[in-house]
Amino acid sequence: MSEQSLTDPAFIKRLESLYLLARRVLGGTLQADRKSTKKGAGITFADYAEYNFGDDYRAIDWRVYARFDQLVIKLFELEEDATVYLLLDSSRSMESKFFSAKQLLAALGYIGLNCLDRVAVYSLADSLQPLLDPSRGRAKVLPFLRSLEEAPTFGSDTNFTTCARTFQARHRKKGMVMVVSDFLYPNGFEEGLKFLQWHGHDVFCLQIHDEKDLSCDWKGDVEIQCVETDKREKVTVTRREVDSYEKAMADWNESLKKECSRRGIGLGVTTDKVPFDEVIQGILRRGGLVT
Amino acid sequence: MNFLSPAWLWSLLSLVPIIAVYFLKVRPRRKPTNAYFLWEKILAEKQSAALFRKLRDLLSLILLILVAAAIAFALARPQIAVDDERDLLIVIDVSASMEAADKSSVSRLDLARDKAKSLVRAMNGSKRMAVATISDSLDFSTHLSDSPKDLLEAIDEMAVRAAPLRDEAVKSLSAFSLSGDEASHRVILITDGCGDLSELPEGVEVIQIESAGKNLGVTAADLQWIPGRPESASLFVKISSSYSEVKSVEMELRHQDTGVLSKLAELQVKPGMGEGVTFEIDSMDPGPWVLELKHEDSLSSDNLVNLALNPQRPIRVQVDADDPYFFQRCIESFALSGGLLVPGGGAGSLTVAVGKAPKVGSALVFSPSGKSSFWKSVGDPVAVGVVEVVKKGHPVIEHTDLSGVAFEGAKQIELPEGAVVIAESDDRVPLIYKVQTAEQTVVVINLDPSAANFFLSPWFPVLVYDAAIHLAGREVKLASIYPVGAELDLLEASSVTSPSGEALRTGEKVRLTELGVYQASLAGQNWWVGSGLLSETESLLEPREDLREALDLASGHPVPVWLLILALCAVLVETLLYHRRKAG
Repeated sequence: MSEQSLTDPAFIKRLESLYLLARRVLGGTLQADRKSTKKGAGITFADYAEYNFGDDYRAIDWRVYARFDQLVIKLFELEEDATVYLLLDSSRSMESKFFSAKQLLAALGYIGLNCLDRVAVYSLADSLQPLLDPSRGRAKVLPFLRSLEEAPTFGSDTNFTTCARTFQARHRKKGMVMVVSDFLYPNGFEEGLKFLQWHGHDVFCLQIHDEKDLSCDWKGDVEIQCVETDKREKVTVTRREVDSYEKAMADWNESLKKECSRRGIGLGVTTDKVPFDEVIQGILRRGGLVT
Repeated sequence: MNFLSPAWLWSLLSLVPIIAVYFLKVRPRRKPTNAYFLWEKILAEKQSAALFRKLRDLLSLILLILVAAAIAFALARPQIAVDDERDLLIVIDVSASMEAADKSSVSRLDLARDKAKSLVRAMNGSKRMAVATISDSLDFSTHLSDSPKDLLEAIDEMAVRAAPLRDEAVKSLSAFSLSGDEASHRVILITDGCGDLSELPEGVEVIQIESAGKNLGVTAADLQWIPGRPESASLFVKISSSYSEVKSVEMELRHQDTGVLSKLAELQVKPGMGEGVTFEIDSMDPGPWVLELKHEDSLSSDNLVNLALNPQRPIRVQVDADDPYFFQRCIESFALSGGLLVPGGGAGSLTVAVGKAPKVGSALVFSPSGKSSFWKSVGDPVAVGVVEVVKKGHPVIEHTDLSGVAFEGAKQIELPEGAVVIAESDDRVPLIYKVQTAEQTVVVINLDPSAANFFLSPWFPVLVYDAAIHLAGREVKLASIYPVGAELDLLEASSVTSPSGEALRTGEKVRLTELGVYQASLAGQNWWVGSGLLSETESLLEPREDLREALDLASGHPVPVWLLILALCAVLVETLLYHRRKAG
């Protein structure tokens, strides 16, 4: 197995370490324990509601009736599984950090599957492509890793908003959506994030950068070429242009941060040079991606 | 325009690979980016620069073509066609006034040299040229040449001479042939216009150097013993000034050898040609003297002159006659007036005798008689009718009108071998002759001075004086100072030494070419002669206004040089553009 393999035993061993850390940090049931806010036939009291004709009379709280002469029923929490949706940016702009992004996604998916969460994985670029149908359990780990390993970059652009709509059309059930991307979307990220959050998902963003994208060391006459659309433009890069680019990149990232903060979306930022274990460990120790 | 080396124009073919290299060179490096949309925003803000970038690439191509074309044309040596193909002689005035400098310390000669070099460079070997200098004489520095290097080197070596610009030298500008054909050359004179240019030949063109500057200098001087006052001398000095106001100048007179200062005076010099002032100075020693004006002005060579005060060397004359009265009175009168003839005997003295010659020393003998080695025989008296001068201009009779002399008492004389007859009668009787032996020189005058009252004739003292001067070798009366360029008749000098110590050729006229004191040996005695600028035209620095201006002359750097400069500038600009392409 090569270093670039996600199914390498050494890599899986690292994933296992992260899972163990997750168990220790997040506390421990083996059962999926994400509670839904829906009211149903559980055993945990949630709330009172006024008795209406047709309600289950066994739920009437007689003590309250004796005291207040008012018919009310008890409501109980409905425990059900939440699905973890992992969205991997597979546009061509991710090429230089694609494996790092896959490693991060692999770690998140591995933890989710081992925690018996339902995990679904998608690739997004100019369209949404499934990588793993909603699955649960350890038995799905290898297939998950294989499909992730084989996932290519594709598309001629990145349209996050379109992908978010497609995603929502497929999955009306709320869940946790984790987007692993560089978030360098020409059409912006605000609409997509807003859409996902509006439909009730818990959205988390993990931004991964290629360090070369953050600064510019070009000088003189260059022909810049978009890796996604193949558009080209000739430009003379001087100190001024370098400063403008770096500022524009910093402003872009800052705007993502502010947007996530405004919406209460957890955001983590890393680069392809940082080992994925460190990133995941950092997230776990912090208790999650912070807003 | 024509080209001296048109074959180099084929090098324009190098434009083809140059243009090809250009198109390869300007292709920019391709850089893929993940954030193209961010670059789009940046580029949208500098739309105007895109136009400049496109023009810049075109400008680079144009500059490369320009460089290659300029170099090709420069190698082909283009030349602006001129109708005048004659050889060119450039004459540079190196007279004393060309040393004058303005406030920036650039002398007129520097300006003239720059102008001459500019002409040489402009011709760039397209025609033959020669360069020469002119002051008191015309001197060629090079022969005809088409090598700019040789001509420029010759111009660089030119230096100012402390001599005025003389009309003889100016006239000689038309008196030579550069290459054998009178009409084949053109003469350009580069001058400041100061000097004797009245005889400027027709056809000589002038480039006049303009340079401001004020000056005052000594234009005449003399230093002579005062007759009758031993050790006292009279100094005459005339100072001319081109200043517009009266200038106060300190003047020093000091002995050149001992440094003794004999005269210090404050002179008030008026503008224009001075009137001269005379000083009587006591306790003067013979020798070379220096007269100096302590004044800073445009020309320094006229602020110092060398004067010679030769020792008073009178000619001792003794009389050997039965009746010496008139002879003695004659000698004494000369002694009283000028001190040149003094009565006295002894070694080196002259003898004025009647009848017989002395056994030693030079002598003037009247009315020869008896036996002597200076006449073979003396016969009977003869009557003299017409006197014929055999040696016209001879020093003995230089100032005497022999037609007014009655040769009473003349006798038939048979002359010895080697006698030189100066005057004779129409019967060929020698009346005045000179005999020179190894030990003696004798002038014989064949007349009896006591007859016909010759003693009372005005020609008597004149003959005696001239004969005495001639016998003593004192025909040449040297002045205290002469202007540079003057010629002295020192034919009798046995040696002449220049101020720089150079031994000059004797037996011919000596031309004074240096400032300083010359030394000559005459009749066994050493004499000094001073030389100075002594020129009003040079000292006043006033140029002539009516000089014929040279026209249609190319000057400055030749066309190929300008083309190369253009190519260099284009290379510099392209280097900047290239740096921007590569380094931003």
